[in-house]
Amino acid sequence: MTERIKIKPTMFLVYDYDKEEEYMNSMSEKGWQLKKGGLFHHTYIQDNQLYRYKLDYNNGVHINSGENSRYLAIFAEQGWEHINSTFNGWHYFRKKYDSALPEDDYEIYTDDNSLKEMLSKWNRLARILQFVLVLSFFSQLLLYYNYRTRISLYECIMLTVAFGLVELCAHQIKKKRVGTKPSSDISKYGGYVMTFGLFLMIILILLSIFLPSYVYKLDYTTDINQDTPDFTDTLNIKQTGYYQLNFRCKSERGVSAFLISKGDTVVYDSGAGGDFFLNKPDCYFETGNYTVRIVYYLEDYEKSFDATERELESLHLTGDLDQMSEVEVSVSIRNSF
Amino acid sequence: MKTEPLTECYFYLLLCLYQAPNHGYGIMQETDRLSKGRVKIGSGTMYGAIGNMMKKGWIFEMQSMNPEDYRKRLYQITSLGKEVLEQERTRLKELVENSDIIMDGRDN
Repeated sequence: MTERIKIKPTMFLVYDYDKEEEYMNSMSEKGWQLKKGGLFHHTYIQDNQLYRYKLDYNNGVHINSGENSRYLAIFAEQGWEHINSTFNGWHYFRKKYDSALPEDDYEIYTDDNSLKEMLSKWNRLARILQFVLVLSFFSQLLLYYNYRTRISLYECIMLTVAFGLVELCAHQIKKKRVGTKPSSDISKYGGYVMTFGLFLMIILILLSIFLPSYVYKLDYTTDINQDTPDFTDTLNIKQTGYYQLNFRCKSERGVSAFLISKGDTVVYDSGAGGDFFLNKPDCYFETGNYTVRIVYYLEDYEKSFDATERELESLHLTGDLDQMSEVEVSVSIRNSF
Repeated sequence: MKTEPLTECYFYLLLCLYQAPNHGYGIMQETDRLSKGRVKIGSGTMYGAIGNMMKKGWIFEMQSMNPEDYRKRLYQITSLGKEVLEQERTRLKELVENSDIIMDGRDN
């Protein structure tokens, strides 16, 4: 005879553990007995023996430890059969149902103190989780102040939703008492909220992975001097957005580089110098043409200031000013979603 | 030493161990008998209480010498546990005496 197996998807928020128990009991009445419980699905096998199911949270016992066998022994003594445990510390138990026995015999927590103690173990974990969430929020702020990175809106929404969800659970958990029926209005929708939240997160993660990314890379090696002091090239941006700008210039002598938008606004100005390097995240670019301009500036400098050789020397720009200067510039722009 | 009032579960647990070591199920049954079915100790409550009391040093775990239930875990009360129980008895006596004085008009 083959065993008939049924896999049921389940979505219970932590404070709905008593609802989950009721659900398992109702499955038992229909002739399906839990074989393995879990966060997202239950496995049932067909069996007409009636059982009562209980969930216990205990994150302090590790499989194969002495504490674990003591824990299970205390439950076994009162007829509780251990089904399985989840990785995050929930344990599924069952006991054969006998209608002659009083209902009290199917309770594992018989006073409020011990129930609260059990649930406070979970709440402690919730506080740690919330602390981590707040910490990651502050790390975003810190990055913003130090590097002017864009504060990602969807990440903030995710952090807030996660924090709120944990707070909701902790709040609901505090209201639990021995012998009360699971029936709060919020818990009715808790499962749906959770499903929606998870769905939203998955969408956002997929978006961040599969959203088209644009990379622009330009490399120049050019000779510029007094006769050909100017070099320009056009950079065509196809998609408006935030990009990571990587501007690198290597030259022997005085060169300036600019990145200019169509409205003649200078996006980036290297200033006067030879070698320079810029790596700036989160630069805003609009669709359209940008101009990369490299200028040999020494001539202008000489003319306007009538600089002497000595002054130029102090700027480390010695040598024959008419000599060609080889310039290597690389501009790379990558969208940093 | 000043301790908080014991819960009924804690009180009965210590009381059931006062005379001799016992295992979890024995404690549960004895409590049920003594309280005439009023106080039940469920497995979760029992596990939490035993764990806490072992931490506080009121009881400790020992192995049964009886080969029949060699694998059963027995719990034994310590002198500190007895002291706590004695204090609780004093506290409860005080409550009963005072309620006798006020409610029945009795005077010592």
